[in-house]
Amino acid sequence: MSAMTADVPVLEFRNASKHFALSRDRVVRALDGIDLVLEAGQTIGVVGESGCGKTTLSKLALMLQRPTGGEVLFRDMEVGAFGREDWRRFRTSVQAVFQDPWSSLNPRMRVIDIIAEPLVASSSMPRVEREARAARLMDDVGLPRAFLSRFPHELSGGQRQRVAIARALSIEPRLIVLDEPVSSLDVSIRSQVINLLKDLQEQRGYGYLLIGHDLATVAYISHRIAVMYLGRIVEINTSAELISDPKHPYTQGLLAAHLADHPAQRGRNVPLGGEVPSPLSPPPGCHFHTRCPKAMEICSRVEPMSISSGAGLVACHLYGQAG
Amino acid sequence: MNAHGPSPSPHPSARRSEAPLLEVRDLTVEFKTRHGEVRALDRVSFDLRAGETLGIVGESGSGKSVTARSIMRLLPRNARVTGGEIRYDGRDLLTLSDREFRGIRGKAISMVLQDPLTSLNPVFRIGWQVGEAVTIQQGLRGAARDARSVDLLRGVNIPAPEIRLHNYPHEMSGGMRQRVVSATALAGNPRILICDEPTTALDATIQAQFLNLLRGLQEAYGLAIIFITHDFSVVAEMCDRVAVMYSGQIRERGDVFEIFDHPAHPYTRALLASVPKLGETERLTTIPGQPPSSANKLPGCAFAPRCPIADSVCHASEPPDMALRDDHTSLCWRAQ
Ligand SMILES: Nc1ncnc2c1ncn2[C@@H]1O[C@H](COP(=O)(O)OP(=O)(O)OP(=O)(O)O)[C@@H](O)[C@H]1O
Ligand SMILES: Nc1ncnc2c1ncn2[C@@H]1O[C@H](COP(=O)(O)OP(=O)(O)OP(=O)(O)O)[C@@H](O)[C@H]1O
Ligand code: SF4
Ligand code: SF4
Ligand SMILES: [Mg+2]
Ligand SMILES: [Mg+2]
Repeated sequence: MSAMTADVPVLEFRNASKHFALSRDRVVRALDGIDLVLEAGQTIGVVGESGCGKTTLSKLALMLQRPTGGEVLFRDMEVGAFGREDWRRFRTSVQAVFQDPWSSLNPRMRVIDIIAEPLVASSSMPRVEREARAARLMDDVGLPRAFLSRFPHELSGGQRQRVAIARALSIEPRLIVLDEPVSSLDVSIRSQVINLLKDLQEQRGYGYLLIGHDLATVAYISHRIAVMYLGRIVEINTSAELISDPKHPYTQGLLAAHLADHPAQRGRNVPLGGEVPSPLSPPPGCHFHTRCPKAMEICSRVEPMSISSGAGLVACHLYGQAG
Repeated sequence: MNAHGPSPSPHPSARRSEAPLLEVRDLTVEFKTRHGEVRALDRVSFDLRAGETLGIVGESGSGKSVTARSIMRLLPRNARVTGGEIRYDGRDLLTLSDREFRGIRGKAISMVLQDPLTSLNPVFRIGWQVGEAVTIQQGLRGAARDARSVDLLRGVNIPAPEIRLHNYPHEMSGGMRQRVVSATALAGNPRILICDEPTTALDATIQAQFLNLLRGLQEAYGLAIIFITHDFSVVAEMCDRVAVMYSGQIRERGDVFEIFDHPAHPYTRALLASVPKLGETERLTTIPGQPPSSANKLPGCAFAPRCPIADSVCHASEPPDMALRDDHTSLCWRAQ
């Protein structure tokens, strides 16, 4: 099925930043110096506490916002250099599924038109063909074809989220940005959607940028995980290694906060103290030093650079360059 | 700030001997809707013992909040309790007058709501809101009221409580607001605290902090807690006993270890297997189909359309509540 050119990364962030100026001297540094490469057919998971920049990252990936520094590339092309044809190609190769299936579907459109909409926008496929395709997509996401004539309010949350996924798949995308795609779903529906996402990737080679807050779920779906703190990636590694051998004290803290899977393990979690500082005035040096149990003198002065460690990268003075 | 509460409580069986503090028996609640009467709770029964934590787990719409609101007498106007009892201290709370119930709400039994962000009034300062609870629950005013408010906020790990009293809710983070809400709920020194998904909106780290705090408060105040959640890891972390709800019924009930190690109900078994566990990679079990809408009640077992082992008996008639090992029950024809 896949006609992908596997050697070109589907998405790349090169030292990308996004700053929001609230006033002359108040700047939110939502993203700072992000380096990230997503290969075709792979999933990168992004985790971190609320406000660390995950949704901003997904907006840059979708080219809904432009970086204020650095570059975001889609298949080796910088978006600033996009011509009309490049935009058309981009729109026919990138799709998104958001957290809230209640608000992301047009309430006045029937399911069939919702699913076929990206096709209308991106190709000259005749109507009958579009509708046949929408029907096949319903099979793919496990919804009865009879639902094609329904409106979103006639569906449950899990059904809507599957409509959103079917819509994202209508154009055989190369990249799907998934911003908390299962958080709003019931447990029994969540596992259906997770299995579906994994199956589709295996069969068709879609690349996923997956944003989530549940480490277990993100690790389950992703090949690699990027851990973010206050606009920066502090560690990135394969899911297996990140979980079994976390290097950055923040990653260790996230894992330590993970709740028991069985009552015999209760009471073992040792959450980080404190809360994320305001992104308007992030702590100098390593942003994490105000909560880090291993902070050293240098940490409040010097920002740690990313260095490679095992299969991944970590930005912490404990590794390599500490003075 | 110290987020680490005291170490967790010992295995629950240590507390077994006492008589229940709260007994809910056959609680049935119906809503009047455009589609006629809809049964939201169907003969719900459970006990809560002093000092223990009972988890109520279930998916959206299964009846968790309606159960909590029935106990607190906070049901919406179109709801009616059509059967059952809620016994506290030898009295059926359902038969108390509103005036008598005021001696219970907030004092004997208190509640932390599902949405911490809306349960504080955005236009009043924190100090006013906590102080109001202190006045209502304990009749304190003036300096005594302020002192008690500061104590309560300190008790839930709010740093610099004297200063925080002057903040508005929007000046606090979600985690801090949830702690303020808890402080308010504790103003009347309740014996029972009902927490309706208090951590759903919080980050993992802040959730873990809050759960540890709650454990500490439980020790300090000798609280019995009803903890409502859809998350089994919260249950594993917090609860001594568990009730699993589906479609307005408690489908399985028992000691937390018993439920995790020997789940008897097909729904509980499927739910436990459908959650990804950290580091595991096996394919997730799914439960086919959708949770039922309470509007179209079927004749047999409510779970039958999704149950992998349903047979003709299941589709024809409702299963009884089967008693299994100690205190473990399962509403299922095939429970063993
Ligand atoms: N348009 C904007 N103007 C100003 N600040 C913004 C804007 N968009 C985002 N921010 C700020 O940037 C930071 C990162 O926000 P973002 O939504 O990316 O976080 P997030 O990681 O997705 O959080 P959550 O987990 O809560 O969804 C936050 O501090 C946010 O307030
Ligand atoms: N005001 C209402 N009018 C009619 N039906 C209602 C009302 N409130 C609740 N219900 C019904 O009662 C049932 C139980 O709802 P409840 O709020 O207890 O679910 P829940 O288990 O708390 O779900 P969630 O996890 O989504 O909070 C649902 O089927 C719901 O549709
Ligand atoms: S650089 Fe210092 S403060 Fe930052 S994570 Fe490493 S040890 Fe902690
Ligand atoms: S009674 Fe039958 S259908 Fe219902 S849960 Fe038990 S086995 Fe399944
Ligand atoms: Mg977000
Ligand atoms: Mg609820």
